[in-house]
Amino acid sequence: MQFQIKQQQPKPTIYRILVILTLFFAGCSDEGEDPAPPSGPPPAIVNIIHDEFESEKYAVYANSTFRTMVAYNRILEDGTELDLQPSINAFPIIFEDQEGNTWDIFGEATAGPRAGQRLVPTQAMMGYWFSFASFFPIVTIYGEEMNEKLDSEISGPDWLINQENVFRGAFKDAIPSLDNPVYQSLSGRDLVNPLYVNDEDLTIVIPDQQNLKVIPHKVMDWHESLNDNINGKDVVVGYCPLTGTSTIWNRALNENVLEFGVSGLLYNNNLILYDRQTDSYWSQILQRSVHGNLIGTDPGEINVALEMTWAGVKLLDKGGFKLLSENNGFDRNYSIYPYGDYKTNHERLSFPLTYQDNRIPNKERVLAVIINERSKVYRFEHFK
Amino acid sequence: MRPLCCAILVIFLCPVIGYSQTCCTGGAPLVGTINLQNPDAGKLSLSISYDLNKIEDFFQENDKLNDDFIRRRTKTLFAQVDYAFNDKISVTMLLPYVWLSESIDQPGSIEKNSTDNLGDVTVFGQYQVLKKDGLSAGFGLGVKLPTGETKGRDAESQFILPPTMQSGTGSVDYLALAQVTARLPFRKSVTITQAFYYKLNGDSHRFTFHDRYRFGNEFQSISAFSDQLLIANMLNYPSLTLRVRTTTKDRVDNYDNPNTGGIWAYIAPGWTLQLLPEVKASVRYEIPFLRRLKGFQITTTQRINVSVNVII
Repeated sequence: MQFQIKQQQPKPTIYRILVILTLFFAGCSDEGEDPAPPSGPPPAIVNIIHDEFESEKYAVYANSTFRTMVAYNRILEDGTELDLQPSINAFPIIFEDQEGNTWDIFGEATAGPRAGQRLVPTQAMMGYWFSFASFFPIVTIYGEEMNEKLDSEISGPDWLINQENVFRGAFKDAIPSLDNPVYQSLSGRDLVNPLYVNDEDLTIVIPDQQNLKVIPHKVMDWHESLNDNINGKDVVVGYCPLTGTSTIWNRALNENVLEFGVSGLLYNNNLILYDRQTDSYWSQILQRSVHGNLIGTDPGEINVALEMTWAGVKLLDKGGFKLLSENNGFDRNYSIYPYGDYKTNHERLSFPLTYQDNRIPNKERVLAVIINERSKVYRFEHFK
Repeated sequence: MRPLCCAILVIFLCPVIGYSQTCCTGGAPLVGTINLQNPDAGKLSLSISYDLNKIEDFFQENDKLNDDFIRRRTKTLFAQVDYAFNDKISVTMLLPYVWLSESIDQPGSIEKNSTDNLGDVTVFGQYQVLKKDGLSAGFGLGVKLPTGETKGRDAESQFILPPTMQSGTGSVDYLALAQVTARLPFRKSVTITQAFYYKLNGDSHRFTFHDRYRFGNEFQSISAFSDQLLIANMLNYPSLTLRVRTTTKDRVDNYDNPNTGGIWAYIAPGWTLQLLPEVKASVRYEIPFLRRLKGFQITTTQRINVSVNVII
């Protein structure tokens, strides 16, 4: 079920005039051919989908302008099933329901009888399509038939994944984790000043007490693992530049606090973290230790990573922003993306995949709802 | 990510300036030594050299980063054989054996890895076009064969090692070189050499993961100055070399590897000692003074080479 709400429309007249003027002054119009179609940003998509997968009922919100998607369960702890509908309020308010509540993108009721309550996030992560297609034996694309793979992965006694498909991109810690991250506090006035993060840059946004911690992908491209303390809990934020996936795990486990580094190993091109206390290896997308003393262990607690562009982050109002500083002890120019055209070249992959599914271009950024080791994928175009 | 480095060693073996080269892409020697020394007809020249390449300079585009937590060492033992059929034609074969190591030093974590293996063998033919009145000119063509290891595995985990820790490239590469050497008319003991070198690289399947990997083609200009001094009744040959190297980006399947390619310029003082009429010993030290690199690369900090050459 889809709900359409007000969308930002492009200004075709203005674009046509600009194109005509450009062609006129450039003198590059080819005789006999139709004039070039107006170019410009694609129409913004802001919409929600109600869906059910593996017996969970949830609503998925998508906003293509801020390149964000997020899914929340519609069933509350008291058993109430919410009829979440698109809100007419401005972002970050995204839902309203039959009880008169409004809910923001963090799943918090901002007004109404349930003000202050929170929706339960549906286990999901955003990333490149190929990564979910290669990881999960059953991947359903919204609106399409379920696709079950015939060949299943073989794991050995020491690994939960097929070791033959684990590749070494670098040695352990050659990609240095951020273990003592420094944040730059920003208030409203600071946001208009030039920062190293640009409006179109994707970020990971984590509420931390009265602030929002903002971790740009452009920094995580170089570090992939960030050990931090958020809301009094020790967490690790993982980001894999090759699969475009982000995770947030509680790293307190059995009264021990683990510290995660980058193992340099990749499975289906996805980050394998390791913990420095037990030297166990952890698959980021599987969110589980796949090798070592803690094999089979899940992180202490898994939080859904909310991601959106910096332009979207600036519209969030949680009291203040803590932007991950670019001065974190590593001499890097974070404005330089280290992987060339990787983000946009659908043919380019670093290592072989266990399974490749060409129904969607490899690098299209999608949301995958992951329940019972099955995945259902949502594209922005599903929300048109 | 595959950070790359490449360096070439140049050793001076005699008054007619000869040099040896090996290129390391990610630590793997790509090119054998090319010894321009043209021994007398029917003579065999044998050289053994040891090369230490210290790789720990981080570059992001043109900026050297204040970071050195990754330290790489490439140690190579070269055996080189030259044989001259006559005054004009000679052949050279170079056989490298490579030790590669990488150390990653992070707070609370030190990771050390090492491996060693045979490198890529190079065979090179030279033709001397001109040799009279202190002036000589020649050219050469060669081929580098994929004899080095490209799928070496970590002894403990059995994972294929990263490209930086493989001793070979897996490709057949073609080499061309032209060189002119002249003695200064007002000081005959001074020799000036200008050489140009080009390497056209072939496809490799070295990483198994890609249908095609091709290292960037390479062009080098080498300008060398050498003098002859008699010290303690022993001939000494001090030298200075300026080397400029440029490579295109590597190609992986149909796209560029963004962290490859660039321009490097090195300066290298050297000293050769004539121990016996048929035996020479040399030492060279090379440091970079200009680097304009593409993307993010770890590259040579300094390099030292010692060698012994015997004419039979």
